Amino acid sequence: MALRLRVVTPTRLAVDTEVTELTAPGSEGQMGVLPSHVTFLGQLDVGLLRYTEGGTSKQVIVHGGYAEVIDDVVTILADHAEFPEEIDGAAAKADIERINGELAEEREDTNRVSELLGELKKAQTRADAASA
Amino acid sequence: MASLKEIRRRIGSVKNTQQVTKAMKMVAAAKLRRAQAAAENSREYSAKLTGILRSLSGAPGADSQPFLQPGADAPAHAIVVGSDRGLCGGYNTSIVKLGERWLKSEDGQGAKITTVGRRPTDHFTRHTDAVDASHLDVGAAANIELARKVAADVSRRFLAGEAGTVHIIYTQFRSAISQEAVAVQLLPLTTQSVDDETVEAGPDYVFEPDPGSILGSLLPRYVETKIYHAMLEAIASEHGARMTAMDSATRNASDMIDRLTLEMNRARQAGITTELMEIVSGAEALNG
Repeated sequence: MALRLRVVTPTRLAVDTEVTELTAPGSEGQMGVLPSHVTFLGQLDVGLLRYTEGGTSKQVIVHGGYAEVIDDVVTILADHAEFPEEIDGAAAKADIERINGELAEEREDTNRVSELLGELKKAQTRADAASA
Repeated sequence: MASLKEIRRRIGSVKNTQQVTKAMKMVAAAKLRRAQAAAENSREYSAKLTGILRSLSGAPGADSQPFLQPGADAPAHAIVVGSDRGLCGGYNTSIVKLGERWLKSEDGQGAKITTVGRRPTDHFTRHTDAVDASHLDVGAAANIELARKVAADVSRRFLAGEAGTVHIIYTQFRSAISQEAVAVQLLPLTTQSVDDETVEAGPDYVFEPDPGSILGSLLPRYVETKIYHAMLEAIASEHGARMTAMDSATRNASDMIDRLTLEMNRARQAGITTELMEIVSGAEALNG
């Protein structure tokens, strides 16, 4: 038994493959999916989507969205998806620096702060994935 | 009749123009293919999102979602999507005309607009004072970042009660030779827009977190996707319109070259005939 994994974003179909298992960054915590999973719809956070394809472990970064499981077909609707090898590690690190700088400046606007924290998490995930 | 030299020069200049229009047509055709591919790529995402939305629309708490509620008693807001560049036939003209008509209609009383693309921006800033935000240099490809920015802006206006409804005016892409400017309501989302019969509702899911919070995060994404989709169609339409316009310009140039060539041959023949007449009459005079 295998699962079909499809990672769909507004601009492309990033992944379409057979996998034996996967772990997605659910908004309520990491979420593992094996074959014969219950019909499910969950919200995703920014993070790494890990999956095992033909015995090798692979990963892709998803930036929020939804995971839907129906009849062993897992469809990830992500706002944005990118592979670790597509990321410029140095640029991601520079992003972290920049966001941290802005965070230190910003004291008044709480909305802006939570926005920046979201961006920081994104940058952190990207930098970690690029250096891994 | 124009002199032979003059006609030759005109043929040369028309040929140059024809080369330019032909090249533009080819470029537009290539960009149209790319725009259609982009639309194809986004189709699965938006179909899935709409499917999930449909299976959630009956969820508890759906009634309290502000995006599904009638907006405040305030003037409407419209997004007008056009292009940066001209030379694409009636593309921008029909968008601008529809925009003008919409502003005069019942919906558009006192409305503010967000323009996308240099052409509609120039027109509406010159002729009305309705432009509140504008996005220029949108480029030759639809871009999701821009769609997100516009979506965030109009959603904020709607939620803050600055805009009672939000409409989007864009060009629907039928085929490379047929496009139509349309105005559709974006917010509040109507059951009509959610109950798209072509999209099947998803099955009964186990939700995580609860359906209400998923719906709350999904609706803004749905608005983004709608705007992105409209931009994709607008861009495909622009390239389609440009391709058609440049094709007919190339054909007009061909016709003109044919006509001028005929005229040139006539002028040359007339010159030869005159010369022959002179020689013959000269010879006759000597014989006489």
